[in-house]
Amino acid sequence: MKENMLTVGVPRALLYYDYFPLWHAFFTHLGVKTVVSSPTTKATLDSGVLAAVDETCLPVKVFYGHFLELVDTCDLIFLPRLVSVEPRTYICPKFMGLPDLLRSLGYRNLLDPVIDLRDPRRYLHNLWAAAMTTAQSVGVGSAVQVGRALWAGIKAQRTYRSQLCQGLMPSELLSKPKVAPAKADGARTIGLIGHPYTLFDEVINLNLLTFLRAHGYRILTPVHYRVQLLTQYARSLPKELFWSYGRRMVGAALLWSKYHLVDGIIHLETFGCGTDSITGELIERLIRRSGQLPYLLVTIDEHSGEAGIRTRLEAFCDMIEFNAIKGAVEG
Amino acid sequence: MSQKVTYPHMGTLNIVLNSVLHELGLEVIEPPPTSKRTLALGAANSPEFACLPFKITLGNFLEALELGAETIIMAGGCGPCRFGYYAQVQREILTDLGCNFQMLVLEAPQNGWLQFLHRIRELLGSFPVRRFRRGWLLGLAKAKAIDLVEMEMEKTRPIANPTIVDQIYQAFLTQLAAIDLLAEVETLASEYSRHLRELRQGRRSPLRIGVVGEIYTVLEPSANLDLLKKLGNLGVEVIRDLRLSHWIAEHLTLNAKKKAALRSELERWAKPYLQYFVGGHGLESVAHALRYCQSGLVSGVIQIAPLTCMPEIVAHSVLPNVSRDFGKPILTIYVDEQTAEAGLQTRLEAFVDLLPPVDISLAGS
Repeated sequence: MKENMLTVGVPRALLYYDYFPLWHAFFTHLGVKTVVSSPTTKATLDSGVLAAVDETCLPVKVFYGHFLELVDTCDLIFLPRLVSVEPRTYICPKFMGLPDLLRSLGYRNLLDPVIDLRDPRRYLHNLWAAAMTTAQSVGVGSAVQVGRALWAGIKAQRTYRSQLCQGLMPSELLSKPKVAPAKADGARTIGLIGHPYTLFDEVINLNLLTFLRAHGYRILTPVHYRVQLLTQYARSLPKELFWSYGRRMVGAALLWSKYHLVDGIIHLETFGCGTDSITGELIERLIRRSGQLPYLLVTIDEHSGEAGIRTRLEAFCDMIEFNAIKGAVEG
Repeated sequence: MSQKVTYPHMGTLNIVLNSVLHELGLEVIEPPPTSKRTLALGAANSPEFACLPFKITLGNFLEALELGAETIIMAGGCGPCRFGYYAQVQREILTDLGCNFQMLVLEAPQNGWLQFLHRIRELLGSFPVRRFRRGWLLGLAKAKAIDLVEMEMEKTRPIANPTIVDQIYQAFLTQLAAIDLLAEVETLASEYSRHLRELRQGRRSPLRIGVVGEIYTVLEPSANLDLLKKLGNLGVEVIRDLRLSHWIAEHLTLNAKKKAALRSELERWAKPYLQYFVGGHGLESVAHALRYCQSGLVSGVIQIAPLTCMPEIVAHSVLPNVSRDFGKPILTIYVDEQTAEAGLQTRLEAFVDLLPPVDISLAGS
């Protein structure tokens, strides 16, 4: 490795959980070193809470924390303006303004290409433009090299997605696994809906995954399905949802309830999440109408305590066990 | 076709909509004026973290349905702000409550006017295009008239007797609502504007505050607890660009090209602080605040938004820098169903007490 290699910091928050393999491969092929912030801790959270506006949501506050950890040690911080990652949808307004939010803290070393794949006719054009802008910012101007890097990124992303579709967790793929994979056979399954950045951050989710796995549950989330499949199920709504993650969450919930793939659904929502307030309500109503599936809505913010959540989860698990016994007796 | 139609309140939008709907020969059930009960009904049946406009408009629908309304007319959109999906979720909530109704969602006619008319006809029955056009033009003229008179009112209120100003404004609204001739609208508006102008005798308040934020909370007095009136009564002249005709243009009349031009204009203004459209009125908030501060037109800015409003949170995050760079105080106020009148009044008084007067020679008249 070269001595004075350019380093690009990637905060371990928000869409890191979806796109890190792509970003990592892309930068590596451009001869740039990526540095990921360390897993979220209470300290990350605290520094984020201090820096961000009170009214914003927990994942954005956590993002501030990760950003602050990296900003002084890396040459550039990779902070794409993620307007849209698939045709005809957005992600969330806060993602569209994220670089401005962090720039307002006074930092200038941001690498913030606009990623807007909303218009299907300009999909490739905009993707290429984003790749070129990013590459130029790290001093690479050759289209051939950028093309190769982008292709490598897309390949890495495909591999990552297909591994997720086999049921692996992002945390197992992105860093060294801490939790042993659960024994899948015969176990009851819980469908977990939420944004990847709340579901897979162990501080934000208050060890929810660990808890459920320790109790022998198999966990399914929207990231374990192909996006096209979930989009197809979400189409049954009278009007197509215009948020990518909302769409995937509704799609997963409809898929699970239609084919009885899970024994219960937990929706992990963060306080003040604008998109979830709408999609969560829809999901809850659709699930309730369709019948017997237990449904739990857990709302968290920086003041949530693990004990409180644990009590609710235990009660929810008891209900699932009870349902199973009842089903066995009646069936 | 004798459909009983209703719609949500947003400030004085009812006057505009009544004109259009009456012209189409429809029976209109206007929701009762938004009250504590409306808000309580709406909040009880809404998702907890939905924003305030969602809750109030749902309350409007519930009260209108109680009065026998059959068809709900609601606006839509295509994101990223939640407003675009309001109607869909409200329909599900009302259905689960066992209400009997139809919903007509007016979304920007992206496929052209013919498609738009076709969809209206599907639900409201057929009517001649000529009449729709007539009603529409009348409604638009009324919106412009309201904006004109409100602008004069906001200049007059801080220096004249507020009770008299209120009386004039109410008289204007009552007369405007009754008019059904296009030509009379303009006469009425200019008459009342003159009336208000005379009241102020060429004087102008030295205290001016720019109001930016989410448009529903700016326009709807029940959502902002009469913020604009409160400021006027404190002797402050309100400067704002968010008005009723602004909303109508943005949602219903502007074509894609004009919209893009408007957006790039806003982006140019907001660029040093916010470089991208963020949905809702986030970009407007930053661009307008910046313009007010830079021009020396105001002594301070107030941003008002519903709690959890995503675009306004983005704007709120960068506004402190605008405030710092121009030396003008900016106050952000979030409202929800818990907001209390006394608390708001206290905050406004404290904010106004600290304001330096505008340099009048600089700002012009």
